[in-house]
Amino acid sequence: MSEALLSVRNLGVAYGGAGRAVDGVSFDVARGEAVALVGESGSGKTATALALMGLLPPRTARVSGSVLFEGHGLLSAAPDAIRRLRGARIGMVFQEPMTSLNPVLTIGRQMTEGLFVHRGLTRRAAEARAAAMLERVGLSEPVQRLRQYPHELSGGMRQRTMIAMAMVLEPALLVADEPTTALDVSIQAQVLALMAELTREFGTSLLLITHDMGVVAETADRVVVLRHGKVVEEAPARTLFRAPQARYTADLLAAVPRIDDRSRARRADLVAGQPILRFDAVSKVFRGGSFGGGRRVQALDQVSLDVHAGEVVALVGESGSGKSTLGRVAVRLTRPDSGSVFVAGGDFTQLRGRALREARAGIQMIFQDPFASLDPLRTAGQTIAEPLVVLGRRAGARDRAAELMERVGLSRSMLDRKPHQFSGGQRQRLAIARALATGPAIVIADEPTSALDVSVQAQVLDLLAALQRDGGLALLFISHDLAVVRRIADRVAVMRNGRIVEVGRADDVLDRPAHPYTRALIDAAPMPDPERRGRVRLPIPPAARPGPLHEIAPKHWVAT
Amino acid sequence: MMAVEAAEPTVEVAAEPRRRSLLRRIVRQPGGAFGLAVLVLLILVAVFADVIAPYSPTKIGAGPRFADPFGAYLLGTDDLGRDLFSRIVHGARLTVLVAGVAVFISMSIGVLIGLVAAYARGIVEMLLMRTADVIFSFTETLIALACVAILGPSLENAVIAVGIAGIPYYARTTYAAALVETGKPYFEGAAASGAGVFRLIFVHLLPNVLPTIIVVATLGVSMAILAAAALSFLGLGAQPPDPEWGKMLSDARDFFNRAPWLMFVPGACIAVTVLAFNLLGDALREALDPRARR
Repeated sequence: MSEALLSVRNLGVAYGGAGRAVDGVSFDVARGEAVALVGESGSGKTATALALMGLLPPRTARVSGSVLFEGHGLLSAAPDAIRRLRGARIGMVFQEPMTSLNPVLTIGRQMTEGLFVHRGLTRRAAEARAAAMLERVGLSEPVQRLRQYPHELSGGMRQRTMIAMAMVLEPALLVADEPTTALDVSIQAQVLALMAELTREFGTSLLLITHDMGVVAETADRVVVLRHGKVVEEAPARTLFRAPQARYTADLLAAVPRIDDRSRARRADLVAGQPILRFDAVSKVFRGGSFGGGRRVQALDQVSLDVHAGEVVALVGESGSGKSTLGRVAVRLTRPDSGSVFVAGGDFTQLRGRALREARAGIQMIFQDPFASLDPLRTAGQTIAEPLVVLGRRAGARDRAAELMERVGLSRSMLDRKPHQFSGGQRQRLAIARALATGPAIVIADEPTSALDVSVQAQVLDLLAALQRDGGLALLFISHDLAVVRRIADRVAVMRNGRIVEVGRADDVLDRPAHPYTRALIDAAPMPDPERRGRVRLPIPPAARPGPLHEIAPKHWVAT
Repeated sequence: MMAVEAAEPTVEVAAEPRRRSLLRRIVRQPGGAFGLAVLVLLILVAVFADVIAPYSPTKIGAGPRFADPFGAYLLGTDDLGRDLFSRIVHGARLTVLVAGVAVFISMSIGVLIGLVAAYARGIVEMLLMRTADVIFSFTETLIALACVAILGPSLENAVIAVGIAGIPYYARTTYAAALVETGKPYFEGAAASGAGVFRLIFVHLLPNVLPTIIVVATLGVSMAILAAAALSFLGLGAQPPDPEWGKMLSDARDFFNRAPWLMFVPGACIAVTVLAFNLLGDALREALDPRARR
């Protein structure tokens, strides 16, 4: 290996009286190399990155070990020296492009700041450099962009701007903490490609911190796997994905859902008789501003979809596609402007009062963020029993809650605990138990696993699949992640701009996508396989309003 | 399918020690400790006023007129020879009562308005909150003055007036806190489970905004004490011979040159009490802040 640019030795981070968040971590980053720090939540990956940038609060965090960057000891350096290195020699890209850009300063002001401070450039020269870099990261009209504010850019554009801002100083090392986690799949692919391209072009080393094995496979040369603050395994990316040495790495890789996984046996046609949930030409428009003068967003545009008993239908789309709105309409958290929703044959949109409450027993919902979707002050038992209590079935509700706890894999002794005493995966199990309390025929699951770690995600998916199989439960599974969808869905509906562009059996849609948008989406999904890196991707087709659906094969409908 | 979850950390926190530690978190802050100490002292004095006070607060000629403090009479006597210490002690009882009842009135109505507005949104929200805004734009004392003008001057009416004047304050803070909660998924989750209006508001919303309300109410107590004292000072609250601190302050004005302690003592009592509640409120906010909890 060539001379190391960054050399971390025996790094340790401890907070207060708690155990060590990072414990004896050592690794090197060579010049021009891309190294990924991978781990699940609590693995210490972010603490490691913050420690070596000197960004941990010195009062609460005790950092030990040594970090050598271009021969400078970063941990022992004076704050001033670190500040000079940060930005000038080490660039940073964070997860949330909205919060890591200052909302009240123009892009130009923020980009040129570093050039004044570190390079001593004149205003004109700095702006020219900034504009050139913006153009390089693929933003149109870079000179005008310099005068814009962060909120005027989309999420993907902001992340490009962040990258441009970090790269404009031509740092030797780029530290990227979950740089694409907040982005849509199609944009994620573009941003990853851009980072790879730029670092190669400028000879910059990349230290990538992520939980996503797909992202690792797409970008990293070498991978450092962290768990509980310790290095579990370190290996070149290809070797690691082909033959992981540590048991933990192997489990982690096995838990990653793959879009090309064809192992799941699909049930033949369940479609028989009346659908359990039916959307009939549902439309919804959101208007911004309080006086109706704001922007008009067509969230749902004449959407029709059936879900039959015992079937898993996945609703797939990027942010703004209307998939979550459709789920909310199904449980009447949002009222549609027009169209109807039928639950078990009855018109759900017209119900009120007691009739509505009774009907709600038949259709329940699981939300994305298990940390926010449970009332923090109510015990597990109270939470699970709530749908029963609402219906006046107070008697035996506690026994039923205990029984449900066991069914979702929790111990009944946890009945009186509050949500903060459960881990993320356990909370999502609680949410599932609550959804099952009334014995519904269908459950709407809105991104139920996207806030969870991969290994926990696999378990929650398995639980959902088992409940669905054993209980004959129908699921409307809303997700942006096609690999997860592959794992669980019988049928897939792809949404874009409030319309369904393609719907059919999961194998048909995922293996033989007919709509160009579906094809591009599948293509953009990151693959946990370094051998597939650098494959040519299909461009996302322009956003025109998709036409009506027509059947191209049995049960496979595509928009014109 | 695999055994990684075994390693998933479960945070073990028992419910009971947490409550005790709230007290500890308050006391650990100097301001909180002071505020709490004054509050406890105030309540003790109010409860045991009859035992503590050596004389009746209204007894004229308990001693000579204008006796100096630290003599036979701990804090001296006033123009009618009443024992100032006894009057201050009984004044604490009035103050606790006035502040407690006034805050109860404004809190119960204000919180209800805030919760309903945040839950209902639309036209109800607009009517309730804009009305609150209009009232809020007048000084609290002015509203209280108007109420007293309608109801007539007496201590009871002053309490009611201060209570009414405080409503918008509670309505607005509750509304803001409740609005945040209604946007959270757990609230929608409860709605999707079929919970009705009352259940959503009183089982889910109210307990979750309660920490905010407690902090606001603690700070509100000091505002109520000041407002009540101000009304009494203006002669619209407590009537003679009630030993209300604000009234005592106002009565002592005429003798300032002769007996400055007659003004100083009730003034200091008001100031210290108000300061204590403010500090306690700040300490409570700090202690209840989820970000500070770790």
